[in-house]
Amino acid sequence: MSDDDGYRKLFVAESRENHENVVRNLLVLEEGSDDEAIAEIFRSAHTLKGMSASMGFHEMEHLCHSMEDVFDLIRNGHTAVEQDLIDVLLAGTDVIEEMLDDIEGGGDCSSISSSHLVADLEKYASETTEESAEVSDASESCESAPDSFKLTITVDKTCAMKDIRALLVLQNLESLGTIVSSTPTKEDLEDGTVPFSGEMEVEFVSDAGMDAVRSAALGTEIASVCFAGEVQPEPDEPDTPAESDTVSVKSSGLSPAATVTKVERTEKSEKVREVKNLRVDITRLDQMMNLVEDLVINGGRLKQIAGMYKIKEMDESLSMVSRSVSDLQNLMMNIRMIPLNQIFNRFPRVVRDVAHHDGKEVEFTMLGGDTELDRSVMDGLSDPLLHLIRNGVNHGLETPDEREASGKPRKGTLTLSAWREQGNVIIELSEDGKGINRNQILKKAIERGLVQEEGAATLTDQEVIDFLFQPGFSTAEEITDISGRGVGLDVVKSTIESLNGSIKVQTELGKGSRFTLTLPPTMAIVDVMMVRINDRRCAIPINGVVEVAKANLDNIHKVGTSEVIMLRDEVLQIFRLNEMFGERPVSEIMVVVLYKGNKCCIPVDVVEGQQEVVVKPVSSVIGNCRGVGGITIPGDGAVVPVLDVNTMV
Amino acid sequence: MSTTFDLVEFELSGERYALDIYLAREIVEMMPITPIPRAPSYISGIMNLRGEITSIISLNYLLSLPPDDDLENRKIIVLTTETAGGSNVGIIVDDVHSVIQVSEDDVEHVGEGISSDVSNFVKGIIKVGCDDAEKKQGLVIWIDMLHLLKDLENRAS
Repeated sequence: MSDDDGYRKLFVAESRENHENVVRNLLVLEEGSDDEAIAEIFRSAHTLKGMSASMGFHEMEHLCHSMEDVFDLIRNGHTAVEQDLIDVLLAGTDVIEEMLDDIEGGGDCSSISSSHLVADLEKYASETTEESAEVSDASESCESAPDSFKLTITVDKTCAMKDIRALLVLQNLESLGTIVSSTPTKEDLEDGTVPFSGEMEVEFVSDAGMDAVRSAALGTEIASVCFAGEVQPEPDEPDTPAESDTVSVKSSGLSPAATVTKVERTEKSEKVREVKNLRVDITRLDQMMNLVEDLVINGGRLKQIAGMYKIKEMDESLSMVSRSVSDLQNLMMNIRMIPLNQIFNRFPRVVRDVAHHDGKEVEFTMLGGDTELDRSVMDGLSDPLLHLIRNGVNHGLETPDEREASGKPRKGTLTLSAWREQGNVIIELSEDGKGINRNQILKKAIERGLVQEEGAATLTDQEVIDFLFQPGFSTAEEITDISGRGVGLDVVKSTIESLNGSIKVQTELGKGSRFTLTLPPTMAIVDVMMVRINDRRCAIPINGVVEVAKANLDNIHKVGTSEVIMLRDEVLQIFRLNEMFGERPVSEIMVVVLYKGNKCCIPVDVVEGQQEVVVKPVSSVIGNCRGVGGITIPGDGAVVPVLDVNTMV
Repeated sequence: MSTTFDLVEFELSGERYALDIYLAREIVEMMPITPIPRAPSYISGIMNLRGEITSIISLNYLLSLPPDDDLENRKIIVLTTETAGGSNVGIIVDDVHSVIQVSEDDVEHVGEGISSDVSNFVKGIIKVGCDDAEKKQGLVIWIDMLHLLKDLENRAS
């Protein structure tokens, strides 16, 4: 049933958000008590519970419920936030994640047992409730006797499943008190026989207080909740004086029949802001992107044709069209850009787990999480980064005792930062650990026969570090379940390279290491330099090009079979790429590119200029050709291979 | 009445070949083909067919025929995208003759007394014009295009 599928997807997507929220705030909480964090957790956990209940995933509801009990105790200050407690709660979130995976795959999560966790959590809850029974009694007695509320709940106009949302609200309310009546009724909503306008009126009796009722009613995609008739001065109103002041200026006189409290207004305006975001299936975006790419290609062709006929009106209207196309293209690129935080958010948890496991103390800092990357690049980035971070904690940082012995603070620092530089996105992971030991790597490399013992001493530091990226190379003396299994940096490197990026390592013994990833912000449309090599056209992505230089052929010298050239006091290796483009006499024009982080030269016949092109992958029939990053059709209708600088030799 | 098949008959190095017509999308005149560096030898290159990048396969290489030096006046049979698992693929042929209808009885299967190094790609050998004096008599080699492309994809990956 497709309807059911739709709900399921929606449920999973939203629950994942809530789940992430809980985990993030739990970590905040671990650092120290934070009222805002606990409030966030409570909201998310509550939504999780409510939604899983209404979808009929009882196992999950049960778990959420017991977690919520504990959260409640924390919120009321009845229980202290301790390491063990956070551990149990995080374990709970792991199970929830497992359940969500199961549900996404079509299961109903009943196969995943959470009973031992529930028991653990209940133990916490009961221990503390006994102690604080009196206190909570006292606080409960503060609450007013059963009140009746009249609510008008408006579901967001853009919401796709208004009736379901309304049902969720009713269910949430039922958990707090009794619903006297509602228009439309619950049955009407369930049957879907009466079209639901998006507005629902509810008469409701509860002793939970107005705040609780409001938060229960205000679920996702609920535009507003208005309390009618009942006006109760809210003690927490002064909490948000600035916001409510500004809004109340606007709302005074405008607010229609019902009396609306000021606080609700602020919440409403927040909701209105959220409405501006739209969930779109990613495949649709991809389709759109393909269409835009076609437009760009065909636009280029049209321009070329128009150039032949030189009709003034035609040229004018064409330039208008091409302006719209390029605007559209930019817009499309921007839509596909997502902030790195999407993947960064998982990392504090990972660092914490690995650090705990290894008995290390780590101060983890993330900077530049708002740097944006194309979705397709982002997809491939998560695993390599995760790997580097684990490595950093596991191999890079020392234990607190070791650190103290070498005169460093007990707490190691691990910094993940991202920023834009020259059209690329740079992601850097640095730690102040023990650094990479050259001799250790060399020993391992000799053992594995990667290098002869005699030759080892002459290798440069960079060459030694490159061994780290060999398949199956690990210097970890002891294999743990976190890293050191030998699947490692080689995979990281090849993944980054498949994203047209590069990875570089700097390290200093005793001071730490720094991994730098350079990535293109988008993959599909790139700036290329069109060149001719041996009269065959080729496109070189501009982000790999350093400069174009005219060389004096006398400055070319042979070093064994390879050739080098002196170019303005720099000695650069020449790659003729004969294997790719055929033998030819060397020409004077050199394109200087970055190959594996070093400058080198490619002699070309002629540089035809720079242009923006759409790069399409090489067909699966042809397979993977080393050195060819893709194929492009520039404006003139020819087909041109795009050089992949990283694998060209 | 035995089953009949509709096939496109084409010529390569003087031999007659055929492939299932439902696999062919269109037949185009020779166009400029761009070679791809380091591509496997059975790939002639790529061309731009109305904005779509189309990979061109050289049957000469796969069928152990002499290489196709003279590219003038030849034709390209473009296959449907379903044939090659979503990618655009064309094959170079010397000439395209006609659509022929063959009955199962006229198909001699390879392996039954006939063997060849390319028998993997051959669905059968068709005897044509035996009962019709007006048509040219002879044999047509029926290429198993689906199998061939699948094989190429396995090689490529």
